[in-house]
Amino acid sequence: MTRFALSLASIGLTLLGVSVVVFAILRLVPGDPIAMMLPPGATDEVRANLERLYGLDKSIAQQYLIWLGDVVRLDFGTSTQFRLPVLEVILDRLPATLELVLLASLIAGLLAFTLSILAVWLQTPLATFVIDGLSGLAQAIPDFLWALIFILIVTLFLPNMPISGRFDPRTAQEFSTNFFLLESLVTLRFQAFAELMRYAILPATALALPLAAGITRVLKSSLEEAMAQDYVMLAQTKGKSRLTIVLGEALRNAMVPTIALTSVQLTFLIGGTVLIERQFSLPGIGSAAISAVLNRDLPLIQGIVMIFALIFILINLSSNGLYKLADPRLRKPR
Amino acid sequence: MSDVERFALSKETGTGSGLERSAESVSRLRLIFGGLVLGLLLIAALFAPQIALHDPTLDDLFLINMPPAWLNSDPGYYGIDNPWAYPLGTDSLGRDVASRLIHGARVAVIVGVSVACLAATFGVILGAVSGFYGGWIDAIIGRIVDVWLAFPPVLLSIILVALLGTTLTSVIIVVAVIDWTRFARVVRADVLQQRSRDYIDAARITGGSDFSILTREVLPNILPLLVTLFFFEIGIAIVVETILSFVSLSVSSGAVTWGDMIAEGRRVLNEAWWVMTFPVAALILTILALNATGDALRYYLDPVLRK
Amino acid sequence: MSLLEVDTLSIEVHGAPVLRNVSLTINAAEIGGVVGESGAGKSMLGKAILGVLPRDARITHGAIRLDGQDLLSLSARHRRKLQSRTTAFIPQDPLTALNPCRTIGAQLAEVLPPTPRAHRLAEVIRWLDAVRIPSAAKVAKSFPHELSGGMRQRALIAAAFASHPRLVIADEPTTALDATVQKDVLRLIRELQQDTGVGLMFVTHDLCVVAKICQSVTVMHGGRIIEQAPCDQIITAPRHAYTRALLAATPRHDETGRGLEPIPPALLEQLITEAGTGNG
Ligand SMILES: Nc1ncnc2c1ncn2[C@@H]1O[C@H](COP(=O)(O)OP(=O)(O)OP(=O)(O)O)[C@@H](O)[C@H]1O
Ligand SMILES: [Mg+2]
Repeated sequence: MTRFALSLASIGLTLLGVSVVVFAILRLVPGDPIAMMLPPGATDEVRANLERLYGLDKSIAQQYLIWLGDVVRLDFGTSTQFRLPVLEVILDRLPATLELVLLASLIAGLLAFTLSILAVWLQTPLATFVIDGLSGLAQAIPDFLWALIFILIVTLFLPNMPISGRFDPRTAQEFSTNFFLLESLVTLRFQAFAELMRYAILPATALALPLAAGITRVLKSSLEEAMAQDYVMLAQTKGKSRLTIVLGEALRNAMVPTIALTSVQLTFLIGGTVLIERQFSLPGIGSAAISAVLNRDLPLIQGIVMIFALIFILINLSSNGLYKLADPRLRKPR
Repeated sequence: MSDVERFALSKETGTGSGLERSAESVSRLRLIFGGLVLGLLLIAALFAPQIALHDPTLDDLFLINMPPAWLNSDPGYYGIDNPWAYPLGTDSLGRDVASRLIHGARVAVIVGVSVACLAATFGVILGAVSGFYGGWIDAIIGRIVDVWLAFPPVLLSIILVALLGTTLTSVIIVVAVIDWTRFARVVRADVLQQRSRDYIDAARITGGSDFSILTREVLPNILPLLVTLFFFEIGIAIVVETILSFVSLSVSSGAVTWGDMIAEGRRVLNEAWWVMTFPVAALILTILALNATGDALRYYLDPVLRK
Repeated sequence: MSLLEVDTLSIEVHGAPVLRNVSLTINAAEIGGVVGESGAGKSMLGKAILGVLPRDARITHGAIRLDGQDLLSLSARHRRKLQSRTTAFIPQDPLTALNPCRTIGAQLAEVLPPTPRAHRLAEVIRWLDAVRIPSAAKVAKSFPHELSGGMRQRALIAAAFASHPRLVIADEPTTALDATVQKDVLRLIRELQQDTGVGLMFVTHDLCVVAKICQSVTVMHGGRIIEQAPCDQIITAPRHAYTRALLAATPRHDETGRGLEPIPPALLEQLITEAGTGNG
């Protein structure tokens, strides 16, 4: 229980640090948010009014404390760009981002587990060479470039494949949430789901490839390490087939390093949504973040950065719990 | 950094184990490929004005979106005799793609190398300080690293560049400020490990300073990993520069960058695919070469990997 | 017909011979010792019999027969199926031979002959009791890292005998243990062997141990058999110089029961040349 409290305190401290840093960056560095909102030739009075409205007439420390007090009450201020509460903008757009991340993680996990289990099971030089080569390539090229490659290929060779947006606005579907993919699945609208997947598959794959490669590398070498252990030989004498041994004996033991790396790389993947959403014109919080930056929408930037930070920290925290689930040696002695 | 993370990090940057048998020959191939591409890149960067056939910023309204030479069936239409005067075609303002590519290599090399040097210096110093002095200094630096890792790096660099202004210098500083943690983590972990060994105590007793321990024990040990990270960092910096151009935060007007070319090419992709394709290809080739060189050098520098 | 017959077996790893013309028989209800120093090929022989040779090892000659059935002529799948019921293995290092991520009970349960689910736990506990593990019910739910080395080795012994095999191969089962634990474990293996009547191939460095429990002994060096004889004959009247050197290097039958002391290099040199010509 005390450990839980400690890690909660640690989250709080890190979030506080993030908020101070982002606040400091946004206020201390030149750049005038009010100027962006003013019509040309606005009077000083209009300007002063706006400054008061957004609290920019107070000192930075005061501004920070006011903002922090509001945040604690889940009030992130008002987006100067959308003229809506920041929380509303974020909640409206978060589902698109989460679905993208979820799909990308699924693709990455599926690719990585299939490939590394295949490589260790087959054990042939050719399979090893091909899988190592592919994962090396997928890891070296960042998601941003994979997206460009996909866009290029689609434009040149697959003109029917969509590369922009989440769905075709002409065949608008009725959805009661913004989790389109999940909702279409839950309500068993498979045709709508397939149509949505056509839009989601490219951005998700671009995001997934580097992660898939990272997981493959660690998982494969950890599996190889596990397969060289004595308990594997003992399992062989018990009549188990190689595939059974890979899945039943080695996989569990290979999980801890894999989880460690995956959690680090998953944060890269989530950070990557910022660009991928922009490249594929997806209405998530990532593309909102970029337009917020370009339009000097300070409250929205702050809110989005805090959400990202929270997600990152939660991932790191849950990976710690997952280690213990995977490896009994890391559990507390009973 | 926990053991698990250390392990993951070593795996993350390690060479694939499946190729161990032929590690020697693979490393040689990597070095040849990497050296070749990076050599070309350097030559392009150094002698861009001499090599390039045209002024990379010169518009020509008669030459808009001209395809690459081998696809150019009707050069007369564009009012030129020899399509090979514009080997990779022209962009939507009639500028020579090949010349822009060559000049873009300049910015790529400058950004990449400066960022990697800055980030490595920052990271090694902070990591070493953190590892040697421990206590509250370590706690503070560790907390800073935590906060840093809680930011999406791309978003942070976009924010910082947007606010600092889109100059070459600010791009370099921003990327270095964001990426120093990569080096700091490695150095700190190794300092801690080395410090726990007996011979470091012996060196201390005989009057070795922290600095001499750093240069004599720690750095040689992690040099292979640092070299690899250094090359990775060059690639990361070049990509981030491209990304900034892509979200219309391009390095100030005048300089030609691959990022500008890609951003522009993306807009005219349907009419002129070559404007985006060649800089993307150049970028991918550069990154692969940097990775290959980093991995190969690590193999040659690390006695453990070579056995 | 003997239980196990190894007939002029030769094995190469990457073209280098590691076993040359090794022949050996073990009868049911009998313990055959295999002694020799490190690298003699003892483990390789055991792995060959169990069918778990490393990938790069290749059998170049010979046959292995179990109850007259030639194992090498079987398909891999058929052989695996047959041997999972007839042969079992007690490994050297109890630290690495148990999967750290699975409970002792689970690893023991999977070797039991088909048992209804409801009886499995009882059967597991019965076996843990049989190898004298205290509070067996708790141990069955424990993970390997929660047990001492001796307990883990007992669990492995239980796993070897629980599949009701006809032949057990024990590869230096006491080397990794404390001297006091060694004696208990040795006694346990011997008792189980006598109770179940299995044939046991006992691999060791220690002639002293061999003298205590084995009926016949095979002395190996450099992948060859140097001498093969009933146990008392080897101890009282060794014919080969190498065996005599082994005996001389074995401390007198004292209570600590330590292993071999190294053979002086000069003698070793001479023995190797002798071994090259002595046995074909
Ligand atoms: N996996 C392997 N690959 C290649 N060579 C091996 C392998 N395992 C064993 N060898 C070689 O086979 C020979 C016999 O090894 P083995 O393990 O059978 O010796 P041993 O008699 O069991 O020794 P020890 O008493 O140390 O266990 C040695 O020369 C060794 O170098
Ligand atoms: Mg052995």
